[in-house]
Formats: sequence, C-alpha cells, structure tokens
Amino acid sequence: MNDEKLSHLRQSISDMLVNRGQPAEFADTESLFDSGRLDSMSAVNLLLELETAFDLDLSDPDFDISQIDTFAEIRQLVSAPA
Amino acid sequence: MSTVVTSGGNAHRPVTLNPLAWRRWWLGIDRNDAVVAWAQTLPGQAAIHIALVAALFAMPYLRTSQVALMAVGLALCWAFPQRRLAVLAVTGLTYFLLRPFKIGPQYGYFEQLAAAAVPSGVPAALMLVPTGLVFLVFAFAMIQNQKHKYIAFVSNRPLLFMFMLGALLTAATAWLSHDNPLFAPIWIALAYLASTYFFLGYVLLDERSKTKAPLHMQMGFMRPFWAGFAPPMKGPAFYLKFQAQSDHDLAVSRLKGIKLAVWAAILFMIWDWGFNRLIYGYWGFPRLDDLIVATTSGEAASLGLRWAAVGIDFMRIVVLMGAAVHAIVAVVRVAGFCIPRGMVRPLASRTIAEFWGRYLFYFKEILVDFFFYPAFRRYFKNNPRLRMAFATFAAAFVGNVLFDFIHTMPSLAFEGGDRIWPGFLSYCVYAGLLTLGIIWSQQIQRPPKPEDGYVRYNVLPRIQVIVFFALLQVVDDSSAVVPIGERLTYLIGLFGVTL
Repeated sequence: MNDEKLSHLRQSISDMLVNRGQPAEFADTESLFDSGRLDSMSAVNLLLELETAFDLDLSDPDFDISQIDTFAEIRQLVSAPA
Repeated sequence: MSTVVTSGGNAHRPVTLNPLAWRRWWLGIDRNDAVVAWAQTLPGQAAIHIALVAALFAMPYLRTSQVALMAVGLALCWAFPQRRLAVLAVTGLTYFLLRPFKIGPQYGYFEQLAAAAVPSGVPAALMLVPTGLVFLVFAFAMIQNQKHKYIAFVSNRPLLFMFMLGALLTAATAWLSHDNPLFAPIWIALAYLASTYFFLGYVLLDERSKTKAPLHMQMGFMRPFWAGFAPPMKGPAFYLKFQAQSDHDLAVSRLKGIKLAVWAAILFMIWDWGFNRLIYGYWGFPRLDDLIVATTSGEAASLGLRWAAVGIDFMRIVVLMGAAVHAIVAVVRVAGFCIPRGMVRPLASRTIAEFWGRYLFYFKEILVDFFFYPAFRRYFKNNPRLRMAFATFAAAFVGNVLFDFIHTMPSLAFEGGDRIWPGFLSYCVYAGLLTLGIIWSQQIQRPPKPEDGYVRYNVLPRIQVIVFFALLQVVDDSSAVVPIGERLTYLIGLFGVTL
C-alpha cells in the first residue's frame, strides 16, 4: 500500500519540478529543497500530501523540513514506525 | 562560431570577436573539462582567488575590513582544503569575538559602557573578547539543551525562548537607569543576543537535521567569515551538504563562484555608473526619496516623472541587491561550498510569491524556516486555505517585522524610541502590504500557463509583479528619514489621488 502511495508521491514531486521549469527526473538521494529545485510552496504541498496520504503528524517539534530533502529521506520517514 | 580545440581536451574556446560567443564560452566554464582541469592547477587556483578578491575590493559597499577578512578566510580554505570546516570554525569564532554586532553604532555604545570596567589607557574594545566568550557559553548551553532536552520548553521552542529573553532584556534596558550597575551587563547581553539571534537560531534548528555539523563548526557559525552585513544564509548542516567532496568538485565550485563574482562586479558597475553617475548624477534625475519629500511639501512633479522615479529606484535597488548577494555567494562557492544562488532572475517571476523566492532567496529562507514552517505545521490544520494564509502572515509579516525589530532592540537604549518607532511603524506598513500581496498571489491569483498565449503568459504577469514590487518599494524603509505618511501620500498620488 505504501509503495503505491510512494509512487504517487514521486509523481507529485515530478509534477512540482515540471511546474518550476525543472526536469521531471530526480534521483532518490538528490536534494530537492536545499538545492533550490523546489521552493517552499512545493514543500507545503508535499507536507500536505504526507499528512493526508500517510496520516503523519508533522507538528512534532523534532521534525524539520530538512529531514525530507530527498526522496530517500521521505521514504524513510513514512516507513518509520509511529 | 569559429572554435579551436586546446591541448586541454574539449575546450572549445572561441577565436571570434563575437561577444556572444565569448559569453557562451564564459557561462560554460564550469562544464568545460579543460577549464576545470586548469582550475585544479596551482596557477588556476591562484588566478581564481586573486580575481575574486580583486572583484570584492572593487565593490565599495563592502568595507575594506570585511574584504580583508574574507580574503584571509578564502586563503586558509585554499591552503587547507581538507580542513575547511576547521578553518570556518577558527575564522568564524575570531570574527565573532572581534566584531560581534551587526549595527555599527552599537560598538561605540559598547565601548562607552565597557570603559568603566577597564583601567584607563586600555582600549575598551578589548572587553569584546571576554563578553563574547560569555555569550559563547550561553550558545553552548542552548545547543546542549537542544541535544539533550534538559528544559523541554526551551528545546521545543528555542527561537520563541530567545525572543522572550530578548524582549525581557529590552524592557529592562528601558526601565533601568543607565547609571544602574545592572544596566551595562543587561545591555551587552541584549546586544549579543540580538546580533546573533538568527545565526544561533539556525544552529539550533540544525540539531533536528540528519546531517548536523560537529560542535566546533556550529560554534564557528555564530558569524561565518563571509557574513559581514548579510543575514545568515542557512545553518552549518546546509553547508555540509554542499561541501566539495573532490578536487574536481572544488574546481567546479570555484569556477561557479568566479562567474558569480564577475556578474556581481558587472551589476555593481551598472549601479554605480548607470544609476548613480549617469541617471542621478549627469542627468540630474531626482532620487525617489528626494521627490517624495519635494512633492509632499508642495513642489510640482508630473505623474510621468513620479512613476519614472519609482521604476528607476526599483531597478537601482534590484541591481544593487543582486551585486551584494552574488558577491557573498561567490565567496562561499570559492571557499568550497557550492550553494545555490541568492538571487535568480527575479524580474522573470510570473507571480508575487515566485518573486519573493527568487529575489532574496536566503532572506526568504530565514522567514520560511523560522516562521512559515512552524506556523504551517501547528495551526489551522483543518482549514487548508486559512492554514496557508496564516503561515504566510507569520513569515511575511511577523517574521519580516521581527527580523527588523530584533536587530534594532539594543539601539532603543541609546537612540531612543522617538527615533526607532517611526521606522518600525514604516516597516510594518511595508510588511503588511507585502503579506497581502503574497496571500492574494497564493490564494486568488491563477498561475499563468503557456496555453494562455505569449502575452498572457510571458508579458502581463511579469509586468504585474514588477509593478507591485516597484510600488511596494515606495514604503520599504525602516530608517524613517522620510516619514511613512509622506510615502503613503506619494504612493496614492501615483494614481492621481491627492490628499
């Protein structure tokens, strides 16, 4: 189930990249936000999708956006036990 | 294009005099194998460093002492590329201990207060070192608390805690008589906290990062050697991510840096020769602030002249800010950290929100990291539109105003509220209009699409954005040299309305 959601999430990130005039392809370990490829608006959309699709609570004070700078980190976050 | 292949391999260096061919070659130097190989040689490295420092010295808005410090930092990073982080720590700590404040007049006031504590004949500025060391102990304690969560409120809300501390110290300096023995230590603590708030803030935020930097580098980031007049450009973990990992990466980073430095120098020349000497000097075109004062005091000026003054002033500021931001990022890149540019074609933005991200990227990042994300993650989670609008308000208004206010807090004691508050009010008006613009852009403005046609996609949205920010520039001033009332009168007058 998570694989399907992750695949959808990956597609969403590709769409965000295209909307920003960037190539749609990105490697799992490639920086998305710190590199400037995606902006804070994209980060917000990503946070919303993580909250709704994976039922995550991102209001944890220990959470920081830099923890989901790559797709590998996003996968790790959604796979971690709650 | 006529080209030759040099002995270095595939370096297609133009032999034509066509400047466009040279421009293409220049813009591609960081992808040119022969140039990258040359940049790894000793002469290549020396040429890059000398060219960068020469370009920095050619920009008088950077103080000589700042450029000298950057030159020392760059030379050390060049000499010890494997110990780049240690160089950052040593130069950063030295810089912090010797020049801890961000606002010039605070040094004079510090020396005035410190003079009572040192024997006559000893420069009061020497007291900066012990007081700086005391503040580093505070910073160390904050970092340790962030790691180990001794005090939960402080580790969960470190920025709020530091702001509350700053507000308390500000209130104390306003309440206590300047002769009170507690006044000097309280003001000094406030001056350090205010000047270091966002640098330390980034270090504390980095504690949540997966790639957090070692402690010595975190302490050096209280004031990296390139900081100068600039706000912090992210925290140490960010730099670890962009650190060159090989000689090839380092050469590419340096070449990208020198490209940016040359672009900064060109922008600076446009600002100096084009705006200051030609438009305002030789042609005698009125400066915006002068025209605001003149027209509000009753002097006649045509509507065309008023609009032209706004447009020219806006372009002047964009060019100057571009030169400044590119120069700093160039230094960081030549030091070996290939960070993204601080300004990327802002005039090509099609929405207000996009301009905000393209114009001053790192300042926008401060507001987003410190205000937008925390508000977005915590509040109005069941109402997406309100959630977004509130987070935008937190960043563009609250963050913007606090950024200005936090740096001003120590000045209240010696400049007085009568001087500071009007500037603060003026900045509130600017931040309020900016916030409304961004929220409108996010929530109501439909992003243009290529299928809308060339004019509706490429021309009209860009004009709309440029006009908005040019008009906003009329009220963007925290110095209060020209009162906000006069600025607003001028702004309304641009639409034919007179008060």
